[in-house]
Amino acid sequence: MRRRLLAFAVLVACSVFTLAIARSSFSDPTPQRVGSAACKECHDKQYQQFAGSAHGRAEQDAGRVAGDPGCESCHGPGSLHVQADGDENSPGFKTIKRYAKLSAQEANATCTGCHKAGDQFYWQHSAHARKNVSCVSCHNIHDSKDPGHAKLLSQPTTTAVCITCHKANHFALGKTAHMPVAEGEMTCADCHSPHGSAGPKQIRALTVNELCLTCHADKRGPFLWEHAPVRENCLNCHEAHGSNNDRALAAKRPYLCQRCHVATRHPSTMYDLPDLANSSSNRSLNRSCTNCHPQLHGSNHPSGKYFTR
Amino acid sequence: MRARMISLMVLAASLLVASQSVAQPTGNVTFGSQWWNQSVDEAKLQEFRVFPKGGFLESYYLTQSKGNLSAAMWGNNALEDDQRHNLALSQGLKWRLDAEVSGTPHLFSSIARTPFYQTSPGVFVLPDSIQRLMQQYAGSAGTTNNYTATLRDLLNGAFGTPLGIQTNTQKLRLRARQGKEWQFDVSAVRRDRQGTLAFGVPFGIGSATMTEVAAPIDQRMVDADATGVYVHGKHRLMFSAGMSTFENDVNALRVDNSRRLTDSATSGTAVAQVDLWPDNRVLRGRVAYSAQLPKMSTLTATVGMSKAKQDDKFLPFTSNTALAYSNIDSLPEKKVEAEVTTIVTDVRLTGRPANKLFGTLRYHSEDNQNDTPTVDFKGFSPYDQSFSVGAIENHQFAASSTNLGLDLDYELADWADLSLLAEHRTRKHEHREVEEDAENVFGAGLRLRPLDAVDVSVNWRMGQRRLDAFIEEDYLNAAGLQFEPIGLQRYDVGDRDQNLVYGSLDWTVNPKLDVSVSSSWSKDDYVDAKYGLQNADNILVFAEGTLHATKTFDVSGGYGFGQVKTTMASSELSATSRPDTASTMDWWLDEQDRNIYVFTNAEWQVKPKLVVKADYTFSRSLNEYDFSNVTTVRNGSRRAPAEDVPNTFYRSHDVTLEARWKWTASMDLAVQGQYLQFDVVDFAVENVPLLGGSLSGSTFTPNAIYLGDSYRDYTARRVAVLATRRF
Repeated sequence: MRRRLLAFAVLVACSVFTLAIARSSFSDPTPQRVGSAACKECHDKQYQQFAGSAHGRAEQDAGRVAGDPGCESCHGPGSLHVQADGDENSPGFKTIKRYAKLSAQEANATCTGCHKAGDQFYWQHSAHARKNVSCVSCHNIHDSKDPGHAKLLSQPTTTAVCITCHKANHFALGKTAHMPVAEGEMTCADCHSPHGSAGPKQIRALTVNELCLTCHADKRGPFLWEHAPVRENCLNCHEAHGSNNDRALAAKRPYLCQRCHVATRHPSTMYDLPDLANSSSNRSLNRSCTNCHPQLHGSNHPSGKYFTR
Repeated sequence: MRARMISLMVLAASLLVASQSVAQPTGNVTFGSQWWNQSVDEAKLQEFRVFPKGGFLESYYLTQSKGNLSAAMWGNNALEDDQRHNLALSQGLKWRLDAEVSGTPHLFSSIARTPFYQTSPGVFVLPDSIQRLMQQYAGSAGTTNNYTATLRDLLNGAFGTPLGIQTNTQKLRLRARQGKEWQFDVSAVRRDRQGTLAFGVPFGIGSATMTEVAAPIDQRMVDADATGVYVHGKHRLMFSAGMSTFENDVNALRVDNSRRLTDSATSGTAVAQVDLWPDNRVLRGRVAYSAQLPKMSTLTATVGMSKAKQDDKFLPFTSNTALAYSNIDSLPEKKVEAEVTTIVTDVRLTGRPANKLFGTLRYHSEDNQNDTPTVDFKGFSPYDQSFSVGAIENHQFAASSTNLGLDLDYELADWADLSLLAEHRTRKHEHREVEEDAENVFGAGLRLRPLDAVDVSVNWRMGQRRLDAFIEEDYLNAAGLQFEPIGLQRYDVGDRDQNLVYGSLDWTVNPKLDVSVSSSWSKDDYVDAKYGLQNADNILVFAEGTLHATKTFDVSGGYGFGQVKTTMASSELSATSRPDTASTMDWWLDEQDRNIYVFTNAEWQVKPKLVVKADYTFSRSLNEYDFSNVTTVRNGSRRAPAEDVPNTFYRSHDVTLEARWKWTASMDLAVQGQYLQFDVVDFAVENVPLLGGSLSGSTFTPNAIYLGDSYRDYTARRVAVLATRRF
């Protein structure tokens, strides 16, 4: 009996001692930095991908242009996670930041801690921030898919990322007249800044016309004879995301022009079937009104008041 | 030759890579050879892309790093018109240099024809003998048919002239992060655009023709910007300066008149002259300040200014030497110092005034000041056929706008968010029939996540735009005659009621199946417009899904339907009065534009080393034009009532199949097959004749020389073999 009591006492003592040790190891809940080498032990693939990326090279500039470098700069101090030794049930396992589990606000706070300049200057005011879009919704830090890995995208192209949510614009890619986005010659991000901007619709310019005229500078003028709706907004006549009309116009010519010009000489003539049947009229065929008014974006000719010269 | 060059280049690159010992090997190159054909030579297939025949280098990625130095180079479609090459060099986070060289083709037609010879850029001529003969026919009564016959002969012998432009772009960007507080960004972009563009040159209405030529395009655009950002604690300051220039090497078109060899004061010009786009330049700058405030708030203010200028020399009023004022010295000015200044102000305050409330108060203004001087002209000659004497002057069209808005998002519960929107917009338009308008916009949205796998949102927005005053005098010409009916309210400035409803559903049905549906409906009513655009009704439904059917088979697809219905009203031309606003002269056009877009992708891992993929894309658009009026009046005489024009129709199929075999750990081999089909029915751009005109009885009167750059149905097939080498 005494031996049994002694054995029980030893067992209780050992249990208490073990528990005490266990408690002491969690008595300090503040995890400490352990360095990226410790992470590499289990996450070698992610480490290699990270090391070859711009983020990984931050290690070289530690303390000078970046904050604390390495895995823990984004995932937080990893000592308790390391101590958990892969045991997902261990309380320490979840002490690092796992971005799939974080709210957009929490995840984005990490990224914007460094990315404050460039496009991200306006991030806080962007529609994406407002709608709780997380940086990691579009970017894949460890396994990016874009060629060159310059943008660390989660999809092979910027456009593929955007149409994941902007489905109406995916639809527009199939229209007959479109920007060369579907062909890969342009991306959504050529015109829009997903990180925010001071312009409308997060465009990469302060005004719509300034953006369009970046590539279409021939239409910039300023002209001697201006066409008022052109000067005000290119989108008065063009559908930037595509349409089924030549030159991505909002409607077919001459009917687009006739929306504004009723009786200015010939436009009031109804260009309907008899007009087509009796003539291959230069007012209906081909480029219609712009056959004779080719300079409708503006003319610098002294006789160009009606954009014919 | 090109194919050999590419093949040799690929081979050399592969050998180089294979023999190179790199510290951190990573990279790939995909190359192959391709065969394709097309049923007819229709430019649409290669509108923005190149289908190479023979060898090609599809893509490559090379990278090397040592210490904090890194270099990466990637690109695609090497040596093709749509090639793209990127280079990125970086030193840690301190320096990063990006360079890009790319080409973008835009092919319009490969079947266009013209009888004109271009003797120098922009100068299009016909043989004098032809012009002399035509002048005799055109000037003599009863010889119209001779003129037509001669012109037809001329056009039948027309030679091909491709229509298309090529834009080559070079970009350079240097980013520097010097210390924790400073960042600099310097970039330069140069775009060279060359090619030909169909351009109409009118010789006058009535006796003369419109002649289309393949106008030469030779333009350069250069943009350069420098930006600096200073970050200190909770404050950020950004400042940038930049410039943009546009140079056009073809400043004018000179085109021979097919009807005349000599100038005439009554019958038109021998040569028409059109001014092309003037050189211009822009200087711009921007300053922005941002501060982090309490309650997780951020205030950002931006002021930007740009100044665009142009001072190209004028051409004379007319190239017709038989008309008065054809001499350059008859112009009051030899050029105009055109100048537009744009000032943009943007202020935003975003924050969380309460625990579950997130909001943005924003103000955005654009002020477009047109400082182009007024030039008083003695008249003008719009078609070089006659000179209309009378004082005319240019108008400095300009506009400004403000937008004051408030966005609020409130978290009703963990699974529900409410968003509200209010905006007040004002605009000013100089020299327009409406000088000021204002619009109030309100909106609300609800986003629900009743289950982890379900996300639903519904949004509504309405706006009411009202003009301040309609200036009837703006519809009077210099002689005081009305040239537009007062009932015309143009859609860009007229009164408008706008409603928009849109929503979406995203549902992860189970771990294997995701579906989403999004839809929108909008309606614009131009409530006080008797003429012009009356309303626009827009519907869009888009559904897509992804099925991970098995561990080795995924399929995804989507279906979209869009419809735009518009109604516009106009008034028939009356021979006796202009404009005629009697209701009996009115006509309407109901236009309906319906689109369908379908896509599917399937991927099947047949064997561990064999993957088969299939992609299919279909798009179709159908436009219907429904005309109506209440009378039978047309051009002042009794004729048939308004009749609908034929529907227009565009349809395309694109099917691609690919089998990819992982030959070794570093090498994939693939075979691709593609079938494309394009169908078009469009009265305006299909079967465009080389000679246009009007038919009265058996007499055809020419009035247009076209390039005949029609859209055509085609089918195309492509087979390619590719190899991907990883290293």
